[in-house]
Amino acid sequence: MLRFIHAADLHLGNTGPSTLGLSPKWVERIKNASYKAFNNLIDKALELKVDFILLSGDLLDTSTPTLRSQLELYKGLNRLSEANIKVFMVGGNHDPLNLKKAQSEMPNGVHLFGDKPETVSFKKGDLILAEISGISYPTAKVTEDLSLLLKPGSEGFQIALLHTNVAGYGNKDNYSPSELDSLVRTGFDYWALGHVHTKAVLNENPYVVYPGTTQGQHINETGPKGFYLVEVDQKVKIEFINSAVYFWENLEFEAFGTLDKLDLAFEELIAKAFEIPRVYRLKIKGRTPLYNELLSEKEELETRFKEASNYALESLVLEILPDLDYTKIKTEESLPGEFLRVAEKLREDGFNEEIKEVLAPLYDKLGDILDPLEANDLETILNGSIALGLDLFWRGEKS
Amino acid sequence: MKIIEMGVKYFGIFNDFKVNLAPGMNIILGRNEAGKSTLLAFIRWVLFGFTKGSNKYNPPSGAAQNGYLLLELDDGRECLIRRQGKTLKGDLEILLDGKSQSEDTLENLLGSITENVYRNVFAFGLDELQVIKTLEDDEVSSFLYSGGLYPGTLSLASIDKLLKDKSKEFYSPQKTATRPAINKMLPALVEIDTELEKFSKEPEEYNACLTEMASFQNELQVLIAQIEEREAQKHWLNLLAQGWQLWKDKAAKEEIIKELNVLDQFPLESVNDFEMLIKELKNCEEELAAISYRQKQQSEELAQIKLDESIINYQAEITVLNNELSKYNEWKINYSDIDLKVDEQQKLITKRIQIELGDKFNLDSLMELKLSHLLNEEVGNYQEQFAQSQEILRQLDSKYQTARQENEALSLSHLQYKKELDAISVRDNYLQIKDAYTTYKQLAPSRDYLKQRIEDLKAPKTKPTPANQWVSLIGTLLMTVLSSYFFVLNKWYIGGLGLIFVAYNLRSYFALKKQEKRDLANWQEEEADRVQELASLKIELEEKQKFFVEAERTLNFSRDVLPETLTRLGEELILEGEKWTNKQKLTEKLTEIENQKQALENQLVLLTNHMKEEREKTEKLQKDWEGFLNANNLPKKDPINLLAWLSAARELQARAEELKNRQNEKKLLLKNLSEFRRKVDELALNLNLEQPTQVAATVLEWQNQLSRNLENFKKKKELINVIGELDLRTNDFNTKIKSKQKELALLLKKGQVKTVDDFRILAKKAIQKEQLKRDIAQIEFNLSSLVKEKKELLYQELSEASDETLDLKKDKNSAELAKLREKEAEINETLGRLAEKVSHLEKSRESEKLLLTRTDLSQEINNAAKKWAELELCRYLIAKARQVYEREKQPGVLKTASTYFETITAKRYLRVISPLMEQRFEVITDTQEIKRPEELSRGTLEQLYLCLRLGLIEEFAKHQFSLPLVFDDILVNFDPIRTLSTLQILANLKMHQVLFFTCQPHLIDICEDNKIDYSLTKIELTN
Repeated sequence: MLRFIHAADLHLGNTGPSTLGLSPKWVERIKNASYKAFNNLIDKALELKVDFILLSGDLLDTSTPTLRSQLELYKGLNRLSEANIKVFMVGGNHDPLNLKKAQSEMPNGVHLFGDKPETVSFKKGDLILAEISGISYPTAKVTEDLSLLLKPGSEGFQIALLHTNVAGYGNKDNYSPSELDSLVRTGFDYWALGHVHTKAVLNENPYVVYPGTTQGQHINETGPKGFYLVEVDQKVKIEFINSAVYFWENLEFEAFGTLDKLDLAFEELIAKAFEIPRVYRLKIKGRTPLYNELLSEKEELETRFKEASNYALESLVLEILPDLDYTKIKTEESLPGEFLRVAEKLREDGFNEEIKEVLAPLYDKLGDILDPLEANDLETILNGSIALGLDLFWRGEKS
Repeated sequence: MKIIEMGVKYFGIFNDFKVNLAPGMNIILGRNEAGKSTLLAFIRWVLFGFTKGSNKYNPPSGAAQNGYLLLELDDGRECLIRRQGKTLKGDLEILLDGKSQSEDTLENLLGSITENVYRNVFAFGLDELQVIKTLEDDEVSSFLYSGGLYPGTLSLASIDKLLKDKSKEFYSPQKTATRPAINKMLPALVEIDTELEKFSKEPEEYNACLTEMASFQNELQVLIAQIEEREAQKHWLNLLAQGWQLWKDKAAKEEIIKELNVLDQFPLESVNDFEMLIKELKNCEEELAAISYRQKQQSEELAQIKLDESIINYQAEITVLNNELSKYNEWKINYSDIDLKVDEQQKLITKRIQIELGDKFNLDSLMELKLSHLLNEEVGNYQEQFAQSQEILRQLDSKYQTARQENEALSLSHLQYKKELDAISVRDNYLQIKDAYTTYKQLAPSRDYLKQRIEDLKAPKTKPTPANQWVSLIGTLLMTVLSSYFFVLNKWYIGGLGLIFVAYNLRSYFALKKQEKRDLANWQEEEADRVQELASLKIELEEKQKFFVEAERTLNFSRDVLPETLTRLGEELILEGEKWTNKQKLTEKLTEIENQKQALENQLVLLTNHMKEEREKTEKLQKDWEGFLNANNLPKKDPINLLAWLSAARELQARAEELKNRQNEKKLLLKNLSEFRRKVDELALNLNLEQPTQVAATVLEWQNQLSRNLENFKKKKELINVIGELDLRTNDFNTKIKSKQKELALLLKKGQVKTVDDFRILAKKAIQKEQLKRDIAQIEFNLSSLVKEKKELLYQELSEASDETLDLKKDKNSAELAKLREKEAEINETLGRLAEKVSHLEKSRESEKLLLTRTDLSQEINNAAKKWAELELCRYLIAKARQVYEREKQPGVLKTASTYFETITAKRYLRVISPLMEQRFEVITDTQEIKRPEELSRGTLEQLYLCLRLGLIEEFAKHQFSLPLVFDDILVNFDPIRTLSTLQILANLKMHQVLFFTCQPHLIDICEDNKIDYSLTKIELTN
């Protein structure tokens, strides 16, 4: 029987979201989460005495990783090496072979694939139990499909190790783009992929697997994050194990009539017992007569609900609207009616070039500094704009 | 609303002007200066009052402005509004359906339309029409430009500005902008990135350090091996050096042995015995010499000793005497001492007895006296009794004296009070007189009153009598007749007066009669009361009289005592009363003193008796005392003196006893002394000596002689013994010496020498040789223990070594080693530095901190960016909506205005638009050309402005209600065709009443010609 762990996208050195306003305990937890998650993985490997570990790239957070992130990686690898657990790993877009390494040599029993396809075997005694083929990114931005270069060996369980963007999965940068069909057809038993941060079993026979990241880094990486434990006997059995130190979670409240209800909701939340704490993005949405009060009290609310022992608040998003009859306004031959119709059309068109043009003076200019706006961000911004516009149209209204 | 009737009492040139108006268009025709504009102002004034400026419309007469509008409201009710007064506003009077209303009613009727709006939009003249400014007041423009766009009050421009300003708080694309949040944060971010860039080299640096460290470590390994080799060499050379010293030492010692040249068979083991033998032999000879010397001495001493045998024979007797000698001396001293004292004491005591105890006593009779201590007690008892009776007598006497003195003092004060009492003179019956006086004085007034009252009541009151009325009656009758006469004479008014007089008189008469009757009844009642009171007063007077008579008798007053007498008596009684009280007090005092005196005299008698008794008791005690003295053979003295005598007698008795003891002691001493003398004399006889004069000295001499002889006797015996012993020892030594000499000869033979000295020289050399041999063995052992292995090599090298070669080798090795050590230290230092750097890099969290700061900053920038995006998008959306709206939809005002404008200009112009962001208008011509107002001719411009106003009016009508429109000759610049179409439009404003003031009669013709509905009102100058 063969037993191994498949993980990817450790992103060691990632410091998580901004921790402004959080207590030291939470700051420590968030900034060290990537290391802690990696340690969780190693602890589990030692506990289960697995045969080997597959790491499918992006072990480090950036292609200019901090020294600490590298040292933490080596520290972990050394622990595995000491426990005689083999490690097979490839570099991805965040840890290509050309990155500035803190250590020239890998610990004993750790195999880092080079930029040429290579197949190594895993033996127990003289018996070859598995053969692992892999290839690392020579540089950060690889645009050719490296999967095409990998060919299975002849003996034992055949594993392919690659950092790749399989077409149609995830919305990550399209590095080493590959096609699922093509992967399935190559003859490997298990494609150990990395790159997409959400765990996904793309195919089962043969297995094509993204284990996702070991620790969610932002609100788009919600829920448990970890790695797969794979057992190969007569059959292949895979099991997901969490390693995340905290979970990201979206939290939405309808804009209640009163702020007291919000307090109540939070009291309930604080009372909840989680085994693993949560980092929330809290969204308050919907029509409310408290539109202006909520806006002006946003910071105060954020501070008030900033954290508890079981959760921290990443941000408070107000997607609230003034309390107006939108259906009616939308049908009116008035400027607000026109305004709403224009906005809705923008939404329906799926945030096309038009909106990009509007935001270009900032987002084009500072594209490398600003986070790209995801659909939900745009949604929030549009909602904010609508609310703001309507509020202005109604400001000073004679009651 | 519509104006049905307009009434001007006073307003400007108008005076009592009234006009009725029709619901539709009213053309009010008047020549220039007929007052058309004044009427326009009048309507405005009545509805709103004037809000500003000076009032130009005060009537020339100086009367207050005054006028009214009778309105028909949209709901059909009638409302009268009257305003009057000289002020801008004047006083308002409102009647709705005939009922008076408050001023608020008018405000409600006019809604939100202010005087300003009314003047600019509803009731204007050519002046207002021509000026676009009048439309730009906020109240109006809000209807024009954004009226109906949205419910709020912010203009689109201000909304846009607000958004733009807000957006600029977050970001500005301008490179120079520094204030917006993002622009402000960007440099910080760049700075962090630059900083981070530095840290990105850390891994490489770390790697380089590790590599360098590894290379240095290798070098260090080689170096350490070299050092170890050198250290081993150094150790070997040290061993060699040590060995070399030993080696040299050994060689030297071997040389000495060679030079000593001593036989190996010399009896070295006997050297000690030999020396010992020599020493013993010498000792024996010396001792022998000493013994013979001592023998000679002892014999000489023995010959010198002499003995006295006789004195030794009386050894016991001499010893006894010698032992008693000290006692003898003592006795002798004591005797002479005591002999003197006994005589002195006897004289002293005899003398004291005579002095202290009296002639009656001597030493013997004193000793016979029995002076027990009981005697003292008895004497003490007597003494106490004497003292007691004396004390009692003393006390009694003192009491007696005090009482006597008190008695004398009392007698003196008694005499004095008696004198005082005799001096006071008071009547004996003072009390009786005082009581009678009091009674008299109390009763006198009431008696007098009673007497007076009785006197008053004795006479009855006068009975009232009826008055005579006849004269009056006759007068009346005469007046009656006279009056009748005057009637007859037909002088009726005089007769009438007379009758009135008659009637009056008759009425007075009857009233008088009635009064008289009432008075009589009263009198009878009073009279009965008087008789009754008189009787009761007489009885009271009699009772009082009885007491009174008694008091008079006591006072010895006659019936008619004078009031002065009574007053004088009163005064006398007051004075006498005081004396009376004093007398009473003194009498009491005297009685008290007499009582005290009697008590004192009784006490004096008692004390005298008591004293007599006590004296008798004392006499008896004296007799007893004397009896006691005789019985005990004691001198006659009082108890205190006797006690002193007794103590003296006792002391003298003790002295006498002591004297007796001394005398006995003296006798005993004398006996002892003579006994000792006898013994000495006896011994002297036995020793054939004369009787000694100095007893003590002789005894001592004997004793000395005895001791000396005894000592000599002992010495002699000892010497004889010693000499015998010495003889024996001499023999012993002689034997010993012989045997030793034999042994010595044997040893000399063994050593192959003849003399003792030769033996000794040879022995010394043999010992030295032996020591050297041992030393060499030790050196060889040390040498071999220097190394465990390579012993042969060591010996080999030592055999070839020299001081110079060894030093040379050592120096060379040390220099090499120092060099290597130095290099080792250098490498270690470098390694230390590298390790420190590695550790520093490992521990450094600087880059991480920067990353965290970057994350925070980036988060803030992103948040700001989203906020900016929201604002910009909002702006964009509003702009886009506005564009659509502007292009596709127009506010109602502009729509209406467009229609009218199109009609008036006969489709020369199609539309009026207002760019939404700007407060201005544009017109679109039939050729789709856009023209600005300033490009239009005067007339067309006036038409445009009229159409805009009509648009506004319609818009108002939608939300509110109609107001009468008043136009003052606004068509003067219109060409006939446009005049016609304008009039048609005005006539068709069904909802509104139009008052069109004009001075142009041709307008009537136009209306007539074109069948336009209108009502005509002409106004003429009234004065």
